[in-house]
Amino acid sequence: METAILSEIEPSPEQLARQAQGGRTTAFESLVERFQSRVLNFILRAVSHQADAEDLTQETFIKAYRSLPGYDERSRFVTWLFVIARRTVVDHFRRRRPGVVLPLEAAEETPGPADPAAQISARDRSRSLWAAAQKLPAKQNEALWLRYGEDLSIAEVARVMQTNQIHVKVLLHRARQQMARLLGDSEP
Amino acid sequence: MNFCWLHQRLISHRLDLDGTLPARFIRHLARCPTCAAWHRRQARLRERLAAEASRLAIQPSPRLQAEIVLQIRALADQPAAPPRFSPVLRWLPLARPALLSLLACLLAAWFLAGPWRTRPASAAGAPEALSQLTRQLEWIKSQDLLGLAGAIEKPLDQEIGLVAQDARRVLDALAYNFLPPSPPGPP
Repeated sequence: METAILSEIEPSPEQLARQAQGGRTTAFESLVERFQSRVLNFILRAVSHQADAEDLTQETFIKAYRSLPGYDERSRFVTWLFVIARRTVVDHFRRRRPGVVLPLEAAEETPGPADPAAQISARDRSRSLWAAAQKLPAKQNEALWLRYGEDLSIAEVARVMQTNQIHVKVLLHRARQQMARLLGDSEP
Repeated sequence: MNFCWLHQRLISHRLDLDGTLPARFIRHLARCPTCAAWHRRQARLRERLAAEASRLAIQPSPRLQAEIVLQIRALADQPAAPPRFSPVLRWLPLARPALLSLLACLLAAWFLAGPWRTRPASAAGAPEALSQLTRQLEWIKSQDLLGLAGAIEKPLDQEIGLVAQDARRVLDALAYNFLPPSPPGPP
């Protein structure tokens, strides 16, 4: 029973980060285990190839480890980690092709397809909700994932995307409006 | 005037926060079928997005965590890198106001005691004249000033007395020669 109780008391990510700041490498390894999947799926929204996404995930955690002294425990560790992940993706695209419009920094007013509802059949609609989100402008897609895929608050999404909360609310509103148009009005 | 667009915008913001709606929005949804249908679609979309995100999650390959751990342990074994900047330079921003204040004080002191202050033309002989004046003052102080005053005032009193005496004589002579004799007094 004591083992069961002890196993339920897991340190929070912020506590693990503080231990890692103190020099405990195993604490940071626990953070890697907890967040590698989330970081990978976040990066996959911008990078289509899984191998590239895993490389960037690895790079993100290395940067996070090096930047640990700068982590402030007042903010959530996951928010801080996603900020690093986003910057890693941006740097990746800039290194590859400087001057090219980056997916994460593309204009949010990119027009969608002319008849989006026709492109998605009713059979695939339930499975392609997030696939439909991929057709949105990059910033709307990113905000949607961070808010509903990662369950970050509006303030945290704003921090990750390095913008303000009003802009995030506008992005989410437009994203859901466009998603509703993409999926049609056949909702029960 | 139709304010449904405003209600939908405000409800959308609430959906992105925590999904709860204040009473005034609920009253509007009860009265407006368009907004009510819109709200149902948006709320359902919000739920589906959150639910399907977890189903879509891709698991990383086993090598990913191993490689990350390997690199982290290699970094941990490395000696700490020397600081990029001298520790003294780190304190420079804090010392800047103190340095500026010290400089301002030095400038003020130099300005007040500056070499451009004009001096009198007899500046070269001022010490000698000053010593002579000092000697004279010392001599004066050494003398008996009251006796000196008496010595100065005595001949002056004598002169004034002699002048008064002469004036009295002149007046008596004038009175004897020109004024009528005074009548005899009462018996």
